[in-house]
Amino acid sequence: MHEEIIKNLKKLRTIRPDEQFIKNSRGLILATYYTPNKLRITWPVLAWSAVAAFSVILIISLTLPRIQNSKILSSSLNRDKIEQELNNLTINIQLEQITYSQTISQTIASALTEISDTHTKHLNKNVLESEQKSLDGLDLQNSEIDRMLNQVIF
Amino acid sequence: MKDETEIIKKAINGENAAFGRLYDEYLPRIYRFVLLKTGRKADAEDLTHQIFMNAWQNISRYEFRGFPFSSWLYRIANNAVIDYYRTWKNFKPIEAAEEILTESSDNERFDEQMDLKIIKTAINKLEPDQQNVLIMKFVDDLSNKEIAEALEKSEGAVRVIQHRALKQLKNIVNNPELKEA
Repeated sequence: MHEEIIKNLKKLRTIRPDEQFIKNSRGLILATYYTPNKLRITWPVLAWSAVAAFSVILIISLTLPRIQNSKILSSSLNRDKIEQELNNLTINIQLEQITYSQTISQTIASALTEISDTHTKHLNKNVLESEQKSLDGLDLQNSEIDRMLNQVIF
Repeated sequence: MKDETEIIKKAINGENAAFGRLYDEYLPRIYRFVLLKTGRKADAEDLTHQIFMNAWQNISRYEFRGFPFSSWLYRIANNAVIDYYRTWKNFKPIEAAEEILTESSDNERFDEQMDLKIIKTAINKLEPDQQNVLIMKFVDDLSNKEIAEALEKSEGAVRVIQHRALKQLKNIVNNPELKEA
């Protein structure tokens, strides 16, 4: 029925491009640099990459606060600062000793006052006598306190 | 094409020599298709070059689905022709037929040349889908399955289009006004 039409259509197969066009076009196309996609990004790869990235972020976010609170990381290694801290520490120790000695001296002074006060009748005689015994041998004039005070003040 | 699958794989891996073989195999058919659709030799050469350049740059997107490489190429070619129609508003099919006639062969007998002129003019009067099916089927010798893949239609639709296109073409060719032109 359509044989004549189909026969004429097949005659169109004689159409061909010019050889010069083929040569130029082919050369230009094949000279174009093409980067093959060696890593075909597929959805499973993307999904696993996202999981891995999220895991790393989660680990970092959980461990970072602990690291920041560590005293080791917060310490300064500056030599001058260390020396200053040591000097401050020494002075603090000395000041504490002075305070302690002063406290003791005040206590002793109070005790002696009470003992020498014969008019105070409410004090227990036995307690006073035991305190007096412990005071024997003490150097009531504390030269060490005086030396430390001089160091701090001057 | 023999061992086409292996050649395509090599091309996907970047071997331009492999793509060169694909170019040699399919260039005449794609050029013919584009020339019959556009009717202008210079435009057909430009479009054909763009089609193969596009195919080379995007060959990594080609998927093996049991259809020949030609179906994928024809799809690219059809889209390129559609874009071409959008930009070309002063398309003159009759002049184009004469241009094709001159370029086809100088040794053809006069009556055969007239037959070619008539058939080409008649094709240009068909709907685009009808043109595509007739050219792919009878000029480039593709199967209905390959045509369906290229045009993204069912095989049944391709057969219906083919039947209607042949009937319409016959009516156009037998039109006395066309024969006298």
